[in-house]
Amino acid sequence: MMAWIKDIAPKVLLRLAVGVFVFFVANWWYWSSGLRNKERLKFSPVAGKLDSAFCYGDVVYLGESSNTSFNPWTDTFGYSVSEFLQLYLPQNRVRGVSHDGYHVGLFSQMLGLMPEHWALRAPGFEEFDRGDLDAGGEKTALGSVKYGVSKDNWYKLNDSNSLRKTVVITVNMRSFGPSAMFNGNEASNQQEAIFYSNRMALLNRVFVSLHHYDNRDSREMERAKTQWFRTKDLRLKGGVGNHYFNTHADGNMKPEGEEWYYHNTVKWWLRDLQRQFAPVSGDKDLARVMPMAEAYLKEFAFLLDEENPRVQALDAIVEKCKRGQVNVVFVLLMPNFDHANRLFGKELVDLMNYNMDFLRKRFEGWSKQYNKGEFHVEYVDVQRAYATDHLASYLNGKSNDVGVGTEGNPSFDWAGGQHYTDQWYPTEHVDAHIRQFIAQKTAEKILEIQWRTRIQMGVTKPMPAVVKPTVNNWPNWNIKMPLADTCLATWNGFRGMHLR
Amino acid sequence: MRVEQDGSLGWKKFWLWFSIGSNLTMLFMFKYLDFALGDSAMVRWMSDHNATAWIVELGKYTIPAGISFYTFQSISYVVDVYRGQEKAEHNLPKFMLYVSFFPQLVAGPIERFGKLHSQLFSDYMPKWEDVRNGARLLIYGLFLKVAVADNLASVVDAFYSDHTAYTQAEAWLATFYFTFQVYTDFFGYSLLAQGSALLFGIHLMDNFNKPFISKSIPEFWQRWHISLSTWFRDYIFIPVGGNKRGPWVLAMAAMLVFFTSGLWHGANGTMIAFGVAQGFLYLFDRFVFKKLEFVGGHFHDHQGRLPLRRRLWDGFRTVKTGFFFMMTLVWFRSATMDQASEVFGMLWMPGYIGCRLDGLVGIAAPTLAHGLQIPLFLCIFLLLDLWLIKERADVWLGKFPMAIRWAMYVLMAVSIWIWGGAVNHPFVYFQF
Repeated sequence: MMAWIKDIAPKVLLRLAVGVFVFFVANWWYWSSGLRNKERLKFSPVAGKLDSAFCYGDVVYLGESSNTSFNPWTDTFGYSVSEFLQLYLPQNRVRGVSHDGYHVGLFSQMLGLMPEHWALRAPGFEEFDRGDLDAGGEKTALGSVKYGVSKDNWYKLNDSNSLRKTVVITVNMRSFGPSAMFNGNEASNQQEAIFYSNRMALLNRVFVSLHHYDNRDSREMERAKTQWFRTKDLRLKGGVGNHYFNTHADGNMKPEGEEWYYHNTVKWWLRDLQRQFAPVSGDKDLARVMPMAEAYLKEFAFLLDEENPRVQALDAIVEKCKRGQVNVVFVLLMPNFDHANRLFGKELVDLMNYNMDFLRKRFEGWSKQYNKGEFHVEYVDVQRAYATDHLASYLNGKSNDVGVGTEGNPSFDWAGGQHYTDQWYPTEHVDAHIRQFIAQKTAEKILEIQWRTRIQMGVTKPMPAVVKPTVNNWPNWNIKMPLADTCLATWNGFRGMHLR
Repeated sequence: MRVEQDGSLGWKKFWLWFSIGSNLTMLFMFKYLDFALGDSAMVRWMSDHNATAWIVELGKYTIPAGISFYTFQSISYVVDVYRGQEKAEHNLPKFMLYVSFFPQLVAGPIERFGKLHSQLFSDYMPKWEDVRNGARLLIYGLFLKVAVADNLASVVDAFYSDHTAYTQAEAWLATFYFTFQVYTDFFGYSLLAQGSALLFGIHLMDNFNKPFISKSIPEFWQRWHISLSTWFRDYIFIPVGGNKRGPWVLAMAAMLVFFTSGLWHGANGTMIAFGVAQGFLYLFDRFVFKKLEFVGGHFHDHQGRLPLRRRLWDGFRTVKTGFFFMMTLVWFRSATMDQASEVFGMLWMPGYIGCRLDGLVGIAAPTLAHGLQIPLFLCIFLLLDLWLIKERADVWLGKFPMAIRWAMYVLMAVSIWIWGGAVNHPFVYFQF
């Protein structure tokens, strides 16, 4: 055996060494020929935006589609949350990087491009090193781009005062569920995410070629999702049930140990829904609502636990930011509770509340743990903040902007469904009114942190709203999607008659 | 073991059919049940009764990787033991290793028990030549899969995702590309399987032997997916009569083989249509086209060389065989029979005439350089496969001086690293 190893090993090692040498040479060529920049732009446009954001930004807002959810038919003001945020934080350079379908798992990977010692670094430094022709970089003799900004510009930037950096992470509860996790587009997102790392450039490209990422295709994802729907128990029991019983129990709930929920799994819930729908499938209004109803179940009927990979990604984000001493503000987005309530009532809303509470508890824990010293974790609970804010307006008679509670009574737990620009699918795409509200609350948190660490300049208290949209720019409350109300009215009749 | 040990022929037969039946039942349950039941009243009844609904679920969602391959491998083992050609393996782990040997587990080659078992449990230590040749097969196989097949797949997938958006010329391009996508994809996988087995000193059989130089469909199937073709020959074609009992039995046996082959490829109408079409082409070549052999004239001139007329005739037959095979692959690739019919319509009906290629090439390959890279890799492969490489790739590579050989390794490696297809395309035969 030893003789065999002695015979084979040197030959194998020699060839491996040659292979590694060739790889390094190819990497040098890949980089210096400019191919690396072109491919990075092709495979991962977000990576370039991230470089720029980390280079020039004091506050980097990592968002998904809800950041830029402007819908020309239902919304009248096109600013994204991060653009509103810039207006609220004039003394900070806010840079937003958004991508449809992104989630905390990808945000965590995106932080891989966060430059070392970024927390207090002057803007422009990283870009100066990295090289970007579009940003005014200079070409070297070999044709590659050496400097990202001209030296003069960089020195100017360098002279400006530097704030401790903050990363804002949008947290979408829906993205923790199976429908988002096993989305058919996830493979392409994961391919992009290969570039959210500063490893050897050619290694990134090799990973793309060999599909070294979670590359499950849409069929495999569908299978995994179906498996989840079939097997994951939706009943809130034991410790979970106790928690819920103590906080939300009302006359309709039964004691622990009995089944509070009619449907054990999403599969049975969907099946029940279909079975009830079959005899009345000729009703056009119902037929229009059914896809949305199914989508709400698939998107929101799940229970969060510690094993959820997205929950673990939250931990990773905090860990990475702590390592870099970069402040982090989580923005817990507000799902469309109003429509969920109209469609399925308490049974679905309770599950959603449980998940929101699960995340809140986590954020609250971090917020308490990291509220002193240089590193801070804060969070904005959009739903609670909005509810508090608008209850007062409602009571003062200034607004009738409320959601619909059980029995058709107004609910102050959530925003009305009309604030959502997608009326036929569960999303967190909110109109300008709430986007502005999110930005305002986020700005307040950031300023609070900066005030706490006494590094903010010239501002001694949270800024009041400075954005005052003109009359034309106010969200148009009266626009509703065609048939939305009539369909939902029919649905209510159906729900009352057929669903248990 | 029962098949081997039971004294009476009747019991032996019973155990043989029991074993084959249980193997095929598993395959049926996992792969064909959903197709067989469809959306029948029975399915609706079953899904309304919780106790039996799991059977439907099983058929829908859980297909173990490579089940078609190792089912056939297990059946060949039992039949060989029944025929007395092999001795039964009494050690279960050893038998399981034969069935699940990792390089060929998911997509073949379907190895016979005698050949693989004897290698797995011999004292043979891999020699340096094995390791070296294995590595050569790995790099060439990876080149075929990543640089050739995956790049072709980007065009083919773009076309089949919405074929109505494209022109007739683009339909032809996609059909042509798919022919070589499926070839390089599966050939690449087979080389990877052979290469990785060779690193352990295990020699797996060749699964391809230049199928596109075949002059007829019967010859084509002797060169394409050889392990499956020989399996069908030995365990279906010959047992049901083969070519010894006259033309009608031969025709029936051939159609049975190709029908089964289609069904083996997938539980849907398109795959069955693919298999049946292959069967008809096989019979056409065997009974009709063979009678036209006189057109090619003599096989040798007075100097013993191949006459020009014969060469032209052989060339025509080769192109004809490849073309017919390419046409049948429309069924192979289409998701439904409707899509296949529409693609055939696009290929042949005058109403679809259009020469623009930029739509398809533009989507699949956004830049000109990228668009040229796809045909370039295909041309390199065709050059290698049809003309240059006369034997297996590792042997062919070994004939070159070291500098040239290493230059080729570097070119292949860089092609994989830098120009590999970016979109994930699982191996085509993984689905079977």
